[in-house]
Amino acid sequence: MKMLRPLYTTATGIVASVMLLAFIVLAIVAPMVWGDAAVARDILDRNAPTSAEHWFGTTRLGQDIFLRTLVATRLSLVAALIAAAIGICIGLPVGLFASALGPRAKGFFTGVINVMIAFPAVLLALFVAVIVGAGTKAAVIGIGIAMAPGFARLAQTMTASVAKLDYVAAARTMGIGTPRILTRHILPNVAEPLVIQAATSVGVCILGVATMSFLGVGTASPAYDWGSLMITAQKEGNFYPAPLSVIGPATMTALAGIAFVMLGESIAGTIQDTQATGKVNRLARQLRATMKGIPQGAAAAELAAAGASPAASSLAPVLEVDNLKVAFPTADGVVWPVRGISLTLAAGERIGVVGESGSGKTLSMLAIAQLIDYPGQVSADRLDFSGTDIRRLSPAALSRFLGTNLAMVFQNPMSSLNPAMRIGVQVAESSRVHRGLSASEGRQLAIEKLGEVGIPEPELRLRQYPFEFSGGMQQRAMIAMGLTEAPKLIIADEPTTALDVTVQRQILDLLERINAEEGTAIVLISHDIAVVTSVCARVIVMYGGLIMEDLPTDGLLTEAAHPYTLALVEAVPDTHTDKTSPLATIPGRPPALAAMPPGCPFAPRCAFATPECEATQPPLAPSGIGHRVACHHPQTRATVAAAAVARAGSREEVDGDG
Amino acid sequence: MEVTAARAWVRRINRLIISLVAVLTLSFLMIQLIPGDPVRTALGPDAPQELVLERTHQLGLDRNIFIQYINYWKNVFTGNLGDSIIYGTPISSMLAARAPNTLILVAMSMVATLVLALLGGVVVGIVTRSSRLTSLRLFFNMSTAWVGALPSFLLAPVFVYFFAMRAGWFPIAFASGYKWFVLPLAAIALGTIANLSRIVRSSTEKVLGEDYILVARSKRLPRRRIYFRHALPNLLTAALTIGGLQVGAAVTGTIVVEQVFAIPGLGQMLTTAIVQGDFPAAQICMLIFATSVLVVNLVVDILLVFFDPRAGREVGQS
Ligand code: SF4
Repeated sequence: MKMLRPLYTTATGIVASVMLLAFIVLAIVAPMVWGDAAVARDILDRNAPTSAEHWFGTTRLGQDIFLRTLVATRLSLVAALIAAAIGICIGLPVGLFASALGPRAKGFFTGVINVMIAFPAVLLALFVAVIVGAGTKAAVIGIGIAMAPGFARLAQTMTASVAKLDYVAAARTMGIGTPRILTRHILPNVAEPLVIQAATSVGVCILGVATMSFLGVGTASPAYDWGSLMITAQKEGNFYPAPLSVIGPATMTALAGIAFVMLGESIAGTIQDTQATGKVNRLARQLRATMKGIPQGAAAAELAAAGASPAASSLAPVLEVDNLKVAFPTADGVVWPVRGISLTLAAGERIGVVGESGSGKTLSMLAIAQLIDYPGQVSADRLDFSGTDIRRLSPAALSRFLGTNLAMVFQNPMSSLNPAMRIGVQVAESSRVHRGLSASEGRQLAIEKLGEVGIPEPELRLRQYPFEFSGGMQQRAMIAMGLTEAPKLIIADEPTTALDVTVQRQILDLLERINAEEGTAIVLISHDIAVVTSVCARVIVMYGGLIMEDLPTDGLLTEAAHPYTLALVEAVPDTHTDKTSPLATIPGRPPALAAMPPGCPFAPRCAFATPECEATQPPLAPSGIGHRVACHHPQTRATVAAAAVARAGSREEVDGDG
Repeated sequence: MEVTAARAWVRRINRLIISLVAVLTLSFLMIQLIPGDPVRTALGPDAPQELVLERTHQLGLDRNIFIQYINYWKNVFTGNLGDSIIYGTPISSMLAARAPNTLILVAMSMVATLVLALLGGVVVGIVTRSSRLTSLRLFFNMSTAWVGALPSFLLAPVFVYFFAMRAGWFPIAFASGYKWFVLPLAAIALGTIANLSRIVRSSTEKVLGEDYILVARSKRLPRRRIYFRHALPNLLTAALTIGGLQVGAAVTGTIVVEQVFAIPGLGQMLTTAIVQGDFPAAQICMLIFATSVLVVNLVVDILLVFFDPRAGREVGQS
């Protein structure tokens, strides 16, 4: 069975199986081989200390405790197995019954199960022992009953998940009978969680039954299991001459319990593969060394000579980035999601960064914001923010500098706001930390900014938590949070993607208004070129970790020269598209990070690709005013359309021939 | 917000009251379920019939079951718990001598578990986040899993052997003073600390990967503030929920170490009472243990509403 594969393929599985096998053999063999020797009394050697002859010492009657421990394996395991079986036999039917109940009754039932699960098994078993009296029976029944709530819950979750399975419904409609559905479709799906929980609970039962005996309410003389051996040794004073008389059986119990729990865990696959992460760490160290070695470039050298001024200059461009790269070590080697991008952003400018997911647009912005977390690595020939090389700032100066000059807005406002903090606290936090505002000043500021972004009744709203806000209001609050320090730049990463269509426009308008009123530069990242063109004056198109084209929005229809840009433009349904022709889509998929083509990343999907394209990566070269393009064979909308017509024609010919 | 939280508390307190009534009723029924004549069973077949009748009358077991039930309620709330069937001494005086030892052990091990597991789990989680120091993470997960699986009845004698018998730092059993307390506490709490800190570590790593932590970093907040103000409240939900469940392990551990260290406590009283058939004493001990498990879980629930504003709403919805 596939489910049991981990038992001989993973380290935990192998250890667990070997231990289990040993215990099972011991349980079968020990009573047959040493059964008599374990009860044989030696009057001359009573309460003996640990010796070569008696490893665990001897009892008051002179019986060898080590042999007794081995023989006790059978009773201890069998008792635990019976207890687990009782738990399954009670728990599963009860859980199945409960899942057939109405919603109210089911809710009540689930509540009862939750309370029961919080109760320690030994306490429930002691409850049973009060009623049926002390003894092995009490321990087994009690621990068994204590296992039942866990299995009842398992049955509930399993039926809930099975009911959702599509093929069960499909099998029903195909007229397949219930027994067949049960054996062929449902059982294989529930077998694994059941086996896992069964194995784990046998482990728990071993400990539970031993605890009961140890407390003197379980197995008692003349029968003996591990728990009763421990308590007998302690009561009869064997512990001091022979500590192993107690510790020995206790260790056996713990090992047997652990073996079963490990068995369950290895089947569940909860033990993670750590070799992969070890490799990631090694690669990260190598990368850090080599990427530091990347020459800083002429621009950086100049800056150093001029003596970089740490103060933000209002004249300098907000952002000057040259040859920015981001590398991530993975278990399969290093990938480069951003492979050298260069861009300049003037003060107060609005640019849009467009690309499919995986194009590197988000990571390049996180890299600029110095937010790439380990194991990712960043390098750049130049990374200036408002005329300051932010890589040269001390950590404290960087925090203050970027904390007050750069604001970021992310895609999902619900997960971006801290669920456990009031909105007002989160909005005012930057200013309180970076400018040392008092609590009441922070409150005033939060009210002001929340009002500015169009949140009604900010005095009341700032006391609320994020979950009490709608998605649109959450995103407004995120923007208000960014505005408190009058930043020079807002980077908004898909700020409207998670929102309702009606709210999207409002958020974009808000960003435009902030840009117009405060002169804040804006970088708007989006997969949707229509969103970008409605807000931004300039568009940067990214693909495969590189900038493909950088051009003014106005020129998108007339001047765009990169086949990828042209395809994106063509894919937008607007008044310019020819209504009779079907919407253009780009065939193929973006290249995988691990398999980047050596030449132009778009070549595999490009209709104009030549061997040159596949061999060498085209540089991002100026092409007219404020226009850069990275393509060996620039096109226009007209040539693209003509090529499409020609292709369609040749396809028809081929079809005609065939 | 304040209204939802208040409503959540009312619901939780309602749930506690219902559970307590159930526990009280069950502990009452426990005796009714004993087959045969429990008094006869307790006193043994040789006890004179007059004594059995006298004790039965004393315990009120000859009355109508509903009257018995009402009396049971009355007695529990007035502290008039009756006499031990074996010794004939008042149960309340037996409790007065034993309950403090047990309750202190349980409470201290809970406090130690919550404080140390949170501290350790968060620190290790911060250090091992986003696959840094994989070997430390592996070591931590393995060692906490193993230590967490070790039962108190193994830890306790091992501790006694090394720290009491060989090193002589602590008494080998219950004694006067405070030193006797250390080894039992360690034997109870080591496992729960290991189990909880493993969960705290992984939820710390998870929380540090959340979007709002990226946002906090983008605001360039000091690390201390990110960890304690932004991350900690969010991982307390998971930590406290699992932490509350550890009270079960703490109670079991306490009952066990009372046996190992010969501590006169409720666990010993309960097990002795079971063996001797002294059911009035067993009944009260069960009641106290069950109540403390329930109360600890309620306290955790209330703390959750306090730390996690959403908890109030979730309850309101369910
Ligand atoms: S470089 Fe070649 S493959 Fe790349 S977009 Fe231009 S024409 Fe197409």
